[in-house]
Amino acid sequence: MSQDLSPTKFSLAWLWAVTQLVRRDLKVRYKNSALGFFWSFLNPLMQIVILTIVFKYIMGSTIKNFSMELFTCFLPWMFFSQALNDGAVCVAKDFLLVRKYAFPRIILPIASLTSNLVHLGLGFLVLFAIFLVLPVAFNIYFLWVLPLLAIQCCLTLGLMLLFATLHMYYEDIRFLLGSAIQLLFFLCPIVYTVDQVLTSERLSAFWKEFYLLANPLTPLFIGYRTALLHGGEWPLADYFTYLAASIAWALAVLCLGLMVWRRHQWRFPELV
Amino acid sequence: MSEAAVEVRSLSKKFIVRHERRPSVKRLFTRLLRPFPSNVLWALRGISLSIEPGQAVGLIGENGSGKSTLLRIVAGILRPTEGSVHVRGRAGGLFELAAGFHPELSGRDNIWLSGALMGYSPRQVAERFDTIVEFSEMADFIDIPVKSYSSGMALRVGFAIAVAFEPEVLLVDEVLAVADAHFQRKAYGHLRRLQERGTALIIVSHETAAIRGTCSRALWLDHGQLRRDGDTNEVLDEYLAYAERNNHG
Repeated sequence: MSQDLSPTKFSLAWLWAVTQLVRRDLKVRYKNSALGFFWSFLNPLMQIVILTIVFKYIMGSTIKNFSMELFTCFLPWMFFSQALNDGAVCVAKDFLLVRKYAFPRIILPIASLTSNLVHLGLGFLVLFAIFLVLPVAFNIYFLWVLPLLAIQCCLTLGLMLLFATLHMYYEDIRFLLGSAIQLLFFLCPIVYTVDQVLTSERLSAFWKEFYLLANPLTPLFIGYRTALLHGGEWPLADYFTYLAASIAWALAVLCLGLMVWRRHQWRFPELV
Repeated sequence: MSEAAVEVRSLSKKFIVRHERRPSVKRLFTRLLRPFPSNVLWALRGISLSIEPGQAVGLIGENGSGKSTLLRIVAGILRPTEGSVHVRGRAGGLFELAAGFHPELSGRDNIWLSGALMGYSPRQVAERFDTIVEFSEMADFIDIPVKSYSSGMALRVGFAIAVAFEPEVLLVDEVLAVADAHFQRKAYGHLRRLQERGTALIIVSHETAAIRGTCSRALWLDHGQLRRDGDTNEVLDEYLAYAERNNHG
């Protein structure tokens, strides 16, 4: 069984197709809204305000500088959850393209990830604008964001591949995913800090360890916060052990995702 | 090795058909274990054929006989279950009308997107952009969203894109029927010119006149099997006689 010369191998040439798909996504997303691109700024801001009101003023969180602590993690969280939501339906949404062209199917989730990355970039612009106003001095530790983001992208892409494939067989996955993502939000140190988990008296040492090792997002969010707000003073002595676990998770998920994708990608046009 | 533009060897294609059934709790569990209450459908069975460069072939057969499946396999969109398909050069074509155009985007944006998804570089698309617009005669509408196009207008753009890159194997699936008389004549004329330059053509159509006019050879697919392969007029006459017999029971 072979197929000569059909453009199914992923090569750099297909990156242009990715940019075209991203361009389309960005154009279409805000096509009929008056504020257009501003929603990319407004949405996270509104969420931050709501969460600050609830957790700081109503529940009386003792975290200092609550909204900034929240902001630094909330942006990458939005990126993660939105990319996963988009990713799960990326093949279904572009089913007509899949039935019409023989492009390597992986450009669909890659494009989905990339357009969410663009939104994340806009979010970071807002964050940096706030840093200028506060002011927070820009420092070298900010660069930590890049490798952390790279790990997060691997993890996210892996999950997108898995869920997009699953979604072609079970559409239930979209609904399940919605709830799972909501649960995960509270399992990550976003509206609380990792210190609060580690100093909790109700959690045994096992669960604290589990908390740090089992969720690859946890070390990433700790990292974003530390890099952007605390000048690289890692809150944990053995932070890098946990970061290594996170990298291992990300690579494992990505490999699994790619394997599943390879097996199923040519069945997509047959599934209606 | 053969000089054939398309070489298909004992090709079979199996689909797994999913049934629409009323959901129930019991079914939920059986579905989790076995997502498809599977019905296997062999869309193509043991097809072998070879098409030379510059040859125009008409593909005929009843609805559901596997014509589109065959085209999609040649185009590389579907994978064979058994057998092999070799295409010398690039295979490109036009399937299912405007499907694949994004309704919210303009004709211009859609041309760029289609070109990119066909695997062409920005330069290759830029070089052919004006030709595409000119051929489709859609210059006045190229910057408005495709959702406001009629099906004939969308077809014009889709056809112009498909032929602009002059693939070695061109596949046309049952789409020219919605074009007006003027564009149909223009399109078939263009197909003949491409064919003279060495393009292998496979055309699916129920318009027997169009097939007789363009193709020297016809393939008759019947329930996924190649029933006849030969001179257009002979195959078509036999096919029409068969259809006639069927109508009278």
